[in-house]
Amino acid sequence: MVVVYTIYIFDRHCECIFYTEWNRGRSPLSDDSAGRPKSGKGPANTAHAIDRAGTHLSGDAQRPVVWPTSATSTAHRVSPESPRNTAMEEEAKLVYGVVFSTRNIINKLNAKDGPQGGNPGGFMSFATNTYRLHYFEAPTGVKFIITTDVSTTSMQPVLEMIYRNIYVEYVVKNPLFNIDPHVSTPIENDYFRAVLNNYIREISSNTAAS
Amino acid sequence: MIHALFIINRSGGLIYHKNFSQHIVQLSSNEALIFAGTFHGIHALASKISPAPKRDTPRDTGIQTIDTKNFRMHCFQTPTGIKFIAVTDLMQTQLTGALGKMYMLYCDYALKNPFYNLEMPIRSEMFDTKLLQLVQAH
Repeated sequence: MVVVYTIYIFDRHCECIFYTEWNRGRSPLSDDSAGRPKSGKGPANTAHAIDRAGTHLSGDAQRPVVWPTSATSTAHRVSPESPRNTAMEEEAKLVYGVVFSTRNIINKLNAKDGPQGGNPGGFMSFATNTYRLHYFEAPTGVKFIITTDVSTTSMQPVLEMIYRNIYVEYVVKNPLFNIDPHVSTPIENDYFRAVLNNYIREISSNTAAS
Repeated sequence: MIHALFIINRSGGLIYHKNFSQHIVQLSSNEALIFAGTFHGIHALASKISPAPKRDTPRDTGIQTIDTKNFRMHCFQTPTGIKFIAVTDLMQTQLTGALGKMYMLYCDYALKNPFYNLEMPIRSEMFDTKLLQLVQAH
């Protein structure tokens, strides 16, 4: 059984153009070592887990484990309005930084004077003791990142499938898609979101997939 | 098959680096230092961006393995913060045992050496030979 936590899509300008989450237990950038938050009253607070001063996120924003309907998932679009979204943006930058650096050191170990860009080293995933992060880079430089539970080892086909059959079909082929190469546009396509949602739900309930 | 070993001290400095095969690029000392610093950083950040529910696992300890097309990296962090990073082939799924033995070698031939300065590069012939034996036996 695959437990999917989050999906990030970054364009080639290093901008996070899409973010969504399922089953997520921690609020973005909650301090791991801080222990339980003093202001938190248990797992009731779901959407805006900020403390009274409104400056940082408390450590334990529990979301009920439900699939986001299109209504709830719209609330998680990366936009700078709420402090939670600011924390998400910050977290997205960290995720990008980690993935970018990992990819670069792996490229270094693979070929002495290889090409600088892209993913010639074939960075696929890394695992900590609590989650696994899977990485897929399209030839155009669009990066797909998915975090799952530790035991899910191979998500490359899934990421490729998301790229080929969902991203290209619903985002790139959309006539309203902004193809200006100098500007990054967040994905705000509800069809894309819905199809992605369905697909993730499908692979999560498929017990045959490891 | 272990291709290479890096040992990183707790401030992110490289204290040991050795390639055991030609499978991966032999990094220059400068590149190896950059590798150590970068790995130290991503190791720390990876635990910060954990999305997993807290109730299952109380604390994220940072990167344990990195999978790539050609090799796999295993990281073992000691309680004192020293990181042992081994680059292996894709067959190696678990390397905690071998990395633990390397930690023992480090304790025996680096730490117990009265001339060894903590956090400084390991230059010990005994350590080199014992490590090579361990890698070949593996």
